[in-house]
Amino acid sequence: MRPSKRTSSITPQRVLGWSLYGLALAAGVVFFGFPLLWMVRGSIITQAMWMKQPLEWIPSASEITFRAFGQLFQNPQYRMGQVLLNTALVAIFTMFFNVLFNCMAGFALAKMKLPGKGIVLPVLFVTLMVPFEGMMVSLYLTVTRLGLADTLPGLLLPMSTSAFGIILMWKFFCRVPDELVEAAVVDGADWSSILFRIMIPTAAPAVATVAVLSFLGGWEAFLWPMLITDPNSKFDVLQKVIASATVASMSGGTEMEWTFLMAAALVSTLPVLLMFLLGQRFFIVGLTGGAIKG
Amino acid sequence: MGGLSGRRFSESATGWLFLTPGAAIIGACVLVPTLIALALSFTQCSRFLNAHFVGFDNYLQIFRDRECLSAFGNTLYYLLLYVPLNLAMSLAVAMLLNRQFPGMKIIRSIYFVPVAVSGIVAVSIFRFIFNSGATGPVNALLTSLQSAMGFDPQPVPWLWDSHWAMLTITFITLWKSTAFFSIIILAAMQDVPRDLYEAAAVDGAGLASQFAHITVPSLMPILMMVATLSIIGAFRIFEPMFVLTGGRYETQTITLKAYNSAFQTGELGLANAISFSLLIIILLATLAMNSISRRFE
Repeated sequence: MRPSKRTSSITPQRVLGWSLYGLALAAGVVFFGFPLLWMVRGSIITQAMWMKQPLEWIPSASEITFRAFGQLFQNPQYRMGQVLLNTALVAIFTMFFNVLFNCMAGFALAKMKLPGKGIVLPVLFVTLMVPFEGMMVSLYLTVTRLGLADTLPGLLLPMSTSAFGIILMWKFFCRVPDELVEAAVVDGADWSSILFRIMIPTAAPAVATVAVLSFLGGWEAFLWPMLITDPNSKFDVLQKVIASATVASMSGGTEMEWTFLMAAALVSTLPVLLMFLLGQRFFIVGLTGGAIKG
Repeated sequence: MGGLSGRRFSESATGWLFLTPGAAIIGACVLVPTLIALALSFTQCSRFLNAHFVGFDNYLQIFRDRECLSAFGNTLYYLLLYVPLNLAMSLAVAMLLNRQFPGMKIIRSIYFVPVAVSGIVAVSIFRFIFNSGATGPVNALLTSLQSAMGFDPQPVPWLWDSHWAMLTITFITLWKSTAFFSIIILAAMQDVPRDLYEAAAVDGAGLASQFAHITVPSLMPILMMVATLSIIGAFRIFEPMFVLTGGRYETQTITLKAYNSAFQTGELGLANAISFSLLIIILLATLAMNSISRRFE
């Protein structure tokens, strides 16, 4: 490091600069953090507190209630236990199928003799650009025609693999030296043990990316579950329930008390937030890996 | 177990076995629906697939129907608001966070909170933050500010008014996406060599000139990627409008119009023509952005 006057002296400009920086940083903390606080506040206040005019920012002890969390799970009207179980199943299945299918396909494309490989890859790259919203109507017609409307397979089918995931795994597997695979073949290893014992451990960051993105994709899925399951389906997931209660609340309807709605939002956010805070490095590698290397 | 030759013989069979689950699902859930969308876009049909061929009528309809035109207009308006703001805010946030001092880890965690909040939950929380009347915190602040300055308190109907609804929705989507994109930019920023800045400082370059001559050029590939993803995201915008306004107050976007044509009015031909146009627009936008980014490499 070179010693320089700029870094050592305290000038009015530098003090001003630092205060502006601190101010901007604090404004960001409020901007990004406040909605989360508002959700937590909303989930534990009484309905009377919601309606209070003028607004009281901090509820007093008598206006705090944890009723929502009990009611959501006990009251059959909300059947939160079932909804939470559905959401967890969808997220876990989505993650499992994506990791499995994307690794298998990526491996076959990267390391195996495959007649037709020259067609598969360009087609995959083209499908990468097809937006879900651009074909949701015809996808709905297709899956309904297959007789899978309002079923778990129908719900999982379009989410259980992605061209993006296959391409990501293909790119990572291509970087693994061919000699490693050849040596394993000579040693008599079969293809599935090469995939699971050699390739997947070597491509751990890419697997992490696929796992994080697909788990989040399953947990936070809204549009497809909303299309393919009936209203009040037994396969309802959290985002669908939260969205339909929010839609109702916009026109003054009370499908769900506002306290309950924010409590459901908290139930949806807490697991992801905990995963995010505990495994932040892993999580960020997963997210940025998805954007940068893709 | 089979010998080496047997394994060689079965290599391509095993390869296709490995490829099949992924390829079959993408075929059934992306390729086939895309072709069906293309085919149906040239037909008139209702819910029960009683399609008959009408040529380019549905595509012409898009240009004649006021609601279709306004859906494209609304989406373009959202795009013009969202894309530049998203780029500027994500870059600004990444720059704010690109320093090291005790406590920065906690501050970063707070900034990245929106990444862990689903799009639907974000929309749901902001629905109450921007509540009409004086019960929402934004209006509470606004009205107390108005009274303090001697004006009549006038709460704004943020999500229930044609002037405000799209602006409010843009604010909400920015909250969620800037956190995500600033993580990506920040990761790229940490690869910019420190000595570039030190050398520039020794040469007497100010902060503005360092920003223009070091930060922006070295981040150009990543900024172009953020721009491309934001443009695609803006064309695809659906959830906030679907949940908050249902397309009222001049917030009906392309995707929402396609959804409504299919599931509300049962015009599957028109819905698929809109969907397929969106697909083409996104394809062209992606190709255009890719050819622009290549110039910066």
